[in-house]
This record gives sequence, C-alpha cells and structure tokens, in this order.
Amino acid sequence: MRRPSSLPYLFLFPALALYAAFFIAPLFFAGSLSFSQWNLISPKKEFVGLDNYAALFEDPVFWISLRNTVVYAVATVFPSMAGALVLAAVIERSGKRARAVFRTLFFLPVIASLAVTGLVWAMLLNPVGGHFNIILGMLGIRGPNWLNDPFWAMASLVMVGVWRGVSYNLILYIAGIQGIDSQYYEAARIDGAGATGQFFHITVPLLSHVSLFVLVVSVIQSFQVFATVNIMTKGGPNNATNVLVYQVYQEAFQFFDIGRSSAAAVVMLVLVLAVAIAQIRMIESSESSMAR
Amino acid sequence: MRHKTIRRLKLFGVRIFLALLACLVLYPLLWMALFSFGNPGISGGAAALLPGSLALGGYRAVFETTPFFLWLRNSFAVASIQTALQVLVGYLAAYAFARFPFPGRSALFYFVLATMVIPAQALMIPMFVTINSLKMINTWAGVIVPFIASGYAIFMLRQFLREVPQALVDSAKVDGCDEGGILWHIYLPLSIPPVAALAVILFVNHWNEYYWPLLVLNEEASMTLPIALVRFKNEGIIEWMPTLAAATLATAPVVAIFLATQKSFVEGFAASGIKG
Amino acid sequence: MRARNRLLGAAAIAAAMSAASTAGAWAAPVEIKFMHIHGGLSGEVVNQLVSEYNASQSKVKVTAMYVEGSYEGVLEKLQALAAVNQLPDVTQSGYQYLSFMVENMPLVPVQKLIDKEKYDTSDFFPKVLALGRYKDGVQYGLPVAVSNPVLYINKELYRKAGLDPNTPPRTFDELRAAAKKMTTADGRYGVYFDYRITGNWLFQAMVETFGGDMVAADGKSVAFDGEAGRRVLRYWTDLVQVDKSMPLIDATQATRSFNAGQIGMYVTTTASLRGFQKEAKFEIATGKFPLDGKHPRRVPGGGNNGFVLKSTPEREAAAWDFLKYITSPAGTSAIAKGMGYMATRKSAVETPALMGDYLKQNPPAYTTYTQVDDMTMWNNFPGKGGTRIFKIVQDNIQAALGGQKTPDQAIKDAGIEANRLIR
Repeated sequence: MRRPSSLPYLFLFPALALYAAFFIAPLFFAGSLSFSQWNLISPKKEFVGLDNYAALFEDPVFWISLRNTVVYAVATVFPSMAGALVLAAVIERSGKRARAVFRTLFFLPVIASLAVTGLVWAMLLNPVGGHFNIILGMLGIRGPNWLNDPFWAMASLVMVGVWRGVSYNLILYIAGIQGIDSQYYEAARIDGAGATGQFFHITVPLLSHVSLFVLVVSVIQSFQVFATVNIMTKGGPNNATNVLVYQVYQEAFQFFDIGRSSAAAVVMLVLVLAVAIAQIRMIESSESSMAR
Repeated sequence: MRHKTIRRLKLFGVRIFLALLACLVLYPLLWMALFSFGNPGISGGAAALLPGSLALGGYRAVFETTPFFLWLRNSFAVASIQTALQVLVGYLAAYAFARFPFPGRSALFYFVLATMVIPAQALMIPMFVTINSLKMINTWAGVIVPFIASGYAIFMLRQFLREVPQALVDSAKVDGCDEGGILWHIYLPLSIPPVAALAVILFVNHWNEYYWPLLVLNEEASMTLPIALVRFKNEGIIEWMPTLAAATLATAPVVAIFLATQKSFVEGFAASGIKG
Repeated sequence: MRARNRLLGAAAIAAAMSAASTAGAWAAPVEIKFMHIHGGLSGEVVNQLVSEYNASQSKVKVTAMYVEGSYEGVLEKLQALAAVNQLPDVTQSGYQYLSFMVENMPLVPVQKLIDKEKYDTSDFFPKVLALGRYKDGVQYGLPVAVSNPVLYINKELYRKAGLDPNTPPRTFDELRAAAKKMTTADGRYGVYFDYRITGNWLFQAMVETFGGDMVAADGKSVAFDGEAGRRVLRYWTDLVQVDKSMPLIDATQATRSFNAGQIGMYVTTTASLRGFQKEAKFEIATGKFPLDGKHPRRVPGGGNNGFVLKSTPEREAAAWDFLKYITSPAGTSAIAKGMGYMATRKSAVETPALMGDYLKQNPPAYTTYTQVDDMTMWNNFPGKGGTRIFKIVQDNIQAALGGQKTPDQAIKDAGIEANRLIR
C-alpha cells in the first residue's frame, strides 16, 4: 500500500522556489515583450500583436540564421559526443597516474577562458601570419581564409565548438566510466573480448544514461553558441555564421528592437525545447522497453 | 612473460598516442602561454611561429595595473559558493526526479529543461531588473543567487541517480532502512563521481563567467578575474601580451585545483565500494 | 573636572563643525560616475586624468567605470542601467550613435550648460565641436576622444618596394599602385582598409571623398548607392579580388599582421597610432587620407562625445565640471598624447608644453590635424531602423569583397533595402 509521499516536493522546493523568484517573471516578461515594440528605454511601449513574429519570419536573415544554427548543431554535437566517449575510454585505460595527468590536459580547453581562447583561435586562423596557414604552407597546402570565407568560417566555428565540446563531455563520460563495475570488463575479457569489443559491448551501452544527457545538453548548448561567433566572425561574412542567439542579441542591443529580439528568443525556446523533449522521450521510452 | 610485455607495450602505446594528441589539442593554449612573453618577431615562414623576444611586460602590466590577486580571491569565493549551492539544490531536485514518480514529474522536468534552453541574452535585462528590485545589484548575491537553481546540475545528476539499481534500494528497505538511510547509505556513496564531475564543470564555468558578473558588479574591488581578460583593449585594439598573460595566469589556479581533486576521484571510487 | 572639560571640548568641536559645514568646507564631495571605453594603456590615461581631477578639488569625486566592447558595449550597459534607473553621470558614446543617444537617453544638452555660464567654446576646432551637434542644431555633447582616418605606412616595406616614405600616396590610384608593389609572393600584403569599423565609418570616408554622400539632402533616401558608392566598392573589391593586395580579414587580425610586418599600409583611425608605435618594431609614417583626384577630401569625425545625463542638479553640475576638465586643453592633450586621438582644441595644438613639442617629436601624429577642416558628421541613418542599415551596408560590402556579389549589385541591394527601412 503506497501512500502519496510529500517527500519529492520537499526535495524540489529549493529549486522551484528559486525558479519562481528568478526565472518565471523574467521568462514571462521576455515573452510578453515579443508582442510589443520597445527600445528598452523610452516610456512608450506599443502592443503590436504578432507583428514582430511576422517581421521575423519575413526577414531572410532569420531563416539564414536558423539554417546556420542547425548546421552548426549537427556538425558539432556528434563529433563532440563520439570524440569524448572514445577519448574517455582511452584515458581511463592509461594507468592510474597517467590518467590523472591526461584528464587534466584534455580538460584544459575548457579551463582556459573562451573570451581569450576565441581570440587565440582567430589569430591562429589568420590567413596573414597565423600559424595554421604557415604550417599548412610548410606542408605545401594553401590554407583557406578561415574566418572570412562563408564555408570555412562556419567550419572554423565548428572546429572550436568540437574542441571545447569534447573537453566538456570528457569529464562526464569519465565519471560515467568510473561507475561501471569492473566485473563486467573481467567477464568480457574472460569471454575473449579485446579492448574494442569491451568498448562497444560494455562501455557504450552502460553509458547510455550519460550519453542522453550529453546529447540533449550538447544540442541545447550548440543552439546557444554566441561567444565564438561574437569574437571570431560577428556573424559574417555576410551572415554566413549568423546564428539565432546572435540575432537575439543584435536585435536587442544594436538595433534597439526588444520586441523582435524577444520574438526570436521565443521561437528558439519553442524549437529547441521541442527537440530536447523529443530526444528524451524517444530514448527513455526505448530504454524502458529494453530488458534491464 | 610475453603476456606482460605485450600489455606493457600496449599501455606505452596508449600513453604516447594520448601525449601526441594532447600536443595537438593544446596547441592554442601553448600559443597563448608562449606569446604572453612576446609578439611575433620576424614575419613570414617558420620564424613567425615564435615570439620575437621573451619579455615579462605583459605580466608586469597585469600585476601593476589590476588588483589581480584580489580578483583571484574574489573569483575563488564566488565560484566556490555558487558551485556548492548549485550542487546542493541540484542534488535535491535530481533526487526527487530520479527516485519518486510523483504527479507532474514530467511537466516539471520539462520546465527545468526550458530554463536551460532560453537564451541568456533574452533573460539578461529582465533578470537584471529583478535583482535590482531585490537590491542585489553590485553584490555577490546578485551574481550568485538567481542561478543557484541550475538545470544543468539537475538534469545531469538525475541521469546518474536513475542508474542506482532498484535492487539495492529494495534490499535496504528490507533491512529496515528509512528514506534518510537510503539516501545516506545507498545514494550518496554512489554519487561521489558524478557530483565531483559536476562540481568541477560548474566551478570552471563560474570561474570564466564574465557577462553576468560584469553586468551586476560595478565596483572594481568586488569584481572577478575575467574582467582582467577583457581589460586590455581600447576601441577594439587588443594589447596582446597583458591579455595573454592574464589568461595564462587565470588558468593556472584551476589546473592546480583540478590536479589536487584527482585524488578524490580515485578515493571516491574506493569509498563507493566499486572496485577499480 | 575632567569630564566637564571633555564635554566642553566636544561641544566646541561640534560647534566648529556645524559652522564649517554651513560654510561648505566640510561638505562631502558629490560622487559621480564616468563611463568610458578605454582599457589597457589608454585606461591608464583615463585613470590618471580622473585622479588628477579628484586631487585638484574637493567638491567632486569621480569614479571611472570601464566598459568593454567599445561603443557597442557602452550602449548595452547604458540600456541595462536605464532599465534600473542607475545611469552614470557622464558617459562616452560613439558618434555613430548620436541620434540614438539624443532621441532615447535622458541627456542634459551641454548647450544648456554652456549658455548658463557663457562657457567659451571657440577654442574647439569648429568641425570637431560640430560632431556633437544634433540635426536640430543643439549641442548635446562635448568632444572627448576624436579622430579622423589616416594612412599608416610601414617605412621599411615601403622603401623595399622602391618607394620614398617621405612621399606617401596622395591619391587612391597611387595607393593602389604602391600596394601592388608591396604585395609579395611570400605572403605579404600591400594594404588593409578597415572596412569593418562599425557605423560604416571608413566606407563613408571613401564615399564622401569620392564626391558622394551617405544620405540624400532631404533625409528621405540613401545616397551611397550612387556613382560614388559604386566606385568605392569597385575599388575595394579590386584590391581584394583582382590585385590581391588587400587581405580579407578583420581588424584584430589585420592589426597584428601589420605590427608583424606582413601588411605594408593600413588605412584606419588616427587613434591606432600609439598602439601601432608601441607594438610594431619598424618605423611608421602617416599620410593624409588619399583623394580620388577629382573631389576634395571629406572624412567623418570618429571617436566619441562626452554626455551629461539627467539626475540631481548637484550631480549634473559636478558632471559638467568634470566634462569641462577632460575636454580642457590639458585634458585633451593628455588623451591625445596617451591614446593617439586628436586633441580637440586649437590652443592645445599650438601650446608647446601641451601638444606642440610632442607633435614636433612625433611627426606621424600631426597628420590628423592637417585634415581637421575636412571633417564631416559621422552619418547616422535616419529613422528607427538607422542602426539596422549599418548592418545592411556592411553585409553587402562583405558580400562584394568576398566575391559573392558584384560591387554594383551589392551597392544596389544595400540601397534598396536601406530605403525600405527609411520610409
């Protein structure tokens, strides 16, 4: 006989109270702003209904930003996940002390501030005197204009995104691998499985709970890419790397159109939330249907 | 005998591979540290790969024109407090989501997701107005409190807590354990690796955060380290040596902390009863 | 006995203090905030000025607030602070946002303060002072750090190409030829025009010097889509795509490349002078902004205004006092010498102790003053979508330089979209 427990609500209370105090009001405020025309300062705020959304959907730059955001997300998420998973498995097998050193080394891209590493990348990718093209030149290859060619600019952002993404996800996968009972590996070894066999049959499946988190969070974070765009390309050349969040920012702070900025933010919220929820439901329903 | 040598060779191979990969991956950071000592010297060719001189001007500028150690201390305090509170509040919420199938669980969880999805730029000003009404502008509370409830923390811990086998919980109940006992004897020991990983990620995030703290804090004395990184600019022209020096200096303490906590990763391992 | 003495002593002190405070000698200084964009070495100049000001009098205490992100960063911070009613008392703001500031921020037009005390503004260079004047003719701000575009030359590379650094290119055709000579097969480029400066600054300088305008005289449509605009974009596109003497990169990359000796010439604000001289290991010469050979030079003033923001009368007075200090001959000289901008006052340039000697010792710094009469207003596109047009023009320039559109097509598209926003 199970009586309904109030325990979960008790545990949830601190988080919910904080959300209520700090997120709900701003969330609704931002939402309501999407139906107004305002520049944040003057006292006149006009209600314009769906005009902002209409203007947004009629703006070709919006669709370009949306496309760029999706391209960036797809190109960044999978290498970040797969790379981190494989790297974590390899690191955890390098021996107890080496492990500690390598974990630190490969986490460094995240430890160093993006505010500066973004600039560093821009300098490395400088076609005039930047190391990438100098080294490629020494190999006889003519390096591209990394940040000012429409294709390569996006590729550069993806490169930096994966560079950081792998670093980030690495720690999560390492924590996951530590939770795997070594008996599983023992049994597999006895059955004759080599390192790759163990990886695919033990590590990967047993890390699915981490992978779901990594997948959803990576998608969310890739849709929110802002810092690298702002530092390295400013959305250029000619909107080739303009992304949704950069548009949200520009509309508000450079075009002084909070209404359109909020509309873009709401569209982003609906879109990404839908994708995230879909991913979670798909994966968790298939989990529960698998025998555990 | 041969078995052992093969294993040793394989281990050696793995380590070499990782070392080479690390050199590649860390190239930008090596550049950052190297060029904090000088700007490119001769132009063109391989000579441009090294700084033209090795000078400490950048480091001197950082220490002489900014209250670097004060900001370091501030960053440490703010990041630690924020991380600790986020882990605490996040753990409680994640425990609720993972353990108890209560009505409204899905909806609430999706709400938590939504807070992660909404772009920060859209929330900045409304959030700023909120903390202003609570008189928290220019205080560390204003920097920390609004974000204590962290969807990242909740979601991450929920994933790990869901993995605790029901069999363990059931046998504990049979042994007469109450809810508190289950939390203390079963869940907490198993949570050490994920909590440690989460704490590290959150700490590093907060260490490098500058948009929100820069918005909230007006007084130099209470500011955090990242401002030193954006300080050496004028109308878009960057002074490279001080900027790279500040970035290199800002990275070092976290690396030290991270290395030091590696031990607790391993110890946590042993304490949770899972053999390595 | 002792207690009574102590009591008397305390009473005496209290009496003295209240007498003094009514005399104003003990009044606490008015504390005001000054928001600015200067970091690094330039920030040191600001801090120096601020502490000198604070030390020189006891009525006002100024706290400097550095904001990162240059003029756009200032706008962001101002918007956030406006939302919570905590605006600073004095702020810098880029001339490309003059309209935004005047139309939206609670400013105290300095005209009011000038008129009230009959402050003499004749010492300012007229064209420089005019930069802070809104289209209604009212002076809203005083010029704090001002600049105009100049041509920087790497003397070593110039000589290597067989040219004489004492005769910099006078026209854009000469510049193009020099750039071609300075472009080498080992990866060195001849010239870089900073086409990315926000507010279309350098594009405006080119269009106006080619005889065109950014906006039509009646303000109802744009004018950069005329023949001048087309010629400008064709010129830039030829440099990038045809001569390949200009690299297609951003200013951060270009500055570092120039300082490393990989780009021979650089056309941008005079405010970059100190930075270049400090980081480059070669000698730098400056030349005037070139001509097209048929029209006079017209270049928009760059840099920023200092504005006084509305608040209490005593804070406004304090802000005005401080603003007068940093725009005084001594103040503007400190800024010009320390940062590289122009000094805004004639007396500063003529006084040896202020700028006179410095300019004799640093000839490249003098070029900007030879152009002071050629300065025009930094164009703010009319209408609510004014800053949006900046982006439209920039996007199209990037499309042309990148070869995705022909220059003529790019100019045409920019004009059409811009006009749609102006209505």
